Amino acid sequence: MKQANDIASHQPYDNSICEYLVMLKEACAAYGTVTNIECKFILNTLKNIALNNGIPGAAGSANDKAGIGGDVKNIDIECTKIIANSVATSETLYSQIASDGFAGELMSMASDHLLGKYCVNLSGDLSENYRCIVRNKNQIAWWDYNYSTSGIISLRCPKNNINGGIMKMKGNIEGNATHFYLSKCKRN
Amino acid sequence: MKGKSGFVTIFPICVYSPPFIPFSSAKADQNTGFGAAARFVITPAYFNIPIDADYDLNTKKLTLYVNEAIADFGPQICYVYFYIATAAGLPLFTRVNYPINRVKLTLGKVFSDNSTFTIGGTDEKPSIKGTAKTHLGDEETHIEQKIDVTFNLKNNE
Repeated sequence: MKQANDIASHQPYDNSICEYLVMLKEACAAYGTVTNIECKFILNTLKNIALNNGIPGAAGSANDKAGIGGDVKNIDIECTKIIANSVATSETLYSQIASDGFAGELMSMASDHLLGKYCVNLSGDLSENYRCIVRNKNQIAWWDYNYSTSGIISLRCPKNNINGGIMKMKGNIEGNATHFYLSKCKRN
Repeated sequence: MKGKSGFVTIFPICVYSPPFIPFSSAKADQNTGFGAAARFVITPAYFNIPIDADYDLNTKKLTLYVNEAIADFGPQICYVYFYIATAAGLPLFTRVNYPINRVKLTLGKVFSDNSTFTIGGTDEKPSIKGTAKTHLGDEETHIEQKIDVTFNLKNNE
């Protein structure tokens, strides 16, 4: 009963330095995405996305398969991106937006490095199936739907944040619905 | 469907179903790096729910708490039905929005019923495989809900 009361009356924990590092990383990612689409022609936008997200993404997947992570993976992704840009068009390497983007990526890599060094990071996959059935007074289902979701769950906290043998962690569950289904039933 | 005494006939037409993509954008974006803001904008039926956890090093138990959502299924996530009724030869039209329960409600419920999970692995490389189920109501009740959640957590270092 005490545990049920604790859960019901739970107040969110304060943000730790790890949360601020994640926010910084997200801000850098958002800036990179905005600079990708900030051009007049849709073809340029697609080219930017391919060079700045697509090719580095493939490099990241290859690193994952090879079991390479952390700073080595980040540096490899950044080098792949610079090479891809230089092969496509060397002018993009000298533009203002490219140098701003590069600074943003360095900041993102630095926050990743600090997160790995000073924070405990747990992450993984999460999936949910939900079904709801509404019946009328004759016990006939008139509304029956379900959905599936898939996403990632992550938790983090500073490494020295242990109080009485308990680490208070913060994180988030992020994802989207991957399926909505409506059963055929009497809705009138 | 025929109404009472056969005077009313109703035709339901589903005119809108919620959009979705068949994969998780958050998982897909782990290497491409568009970021959460971009995922929020372009992913239909997106949710982002902050959580807290107590990681007990002595008992090797993890307790999860679900907080208020940052984003949780936008207003376009619903079913819309259009009803055409003919009563005594006269046509009647009406539109009904059927809402869909948000993820915060369902995850919040399942993690309040099953909040504690056992931590496996070693102290350096902990791993947690969690399964949580909740069944509200039954075939005799007005509303019956079934929620199944599975997740795994591991140290990424």
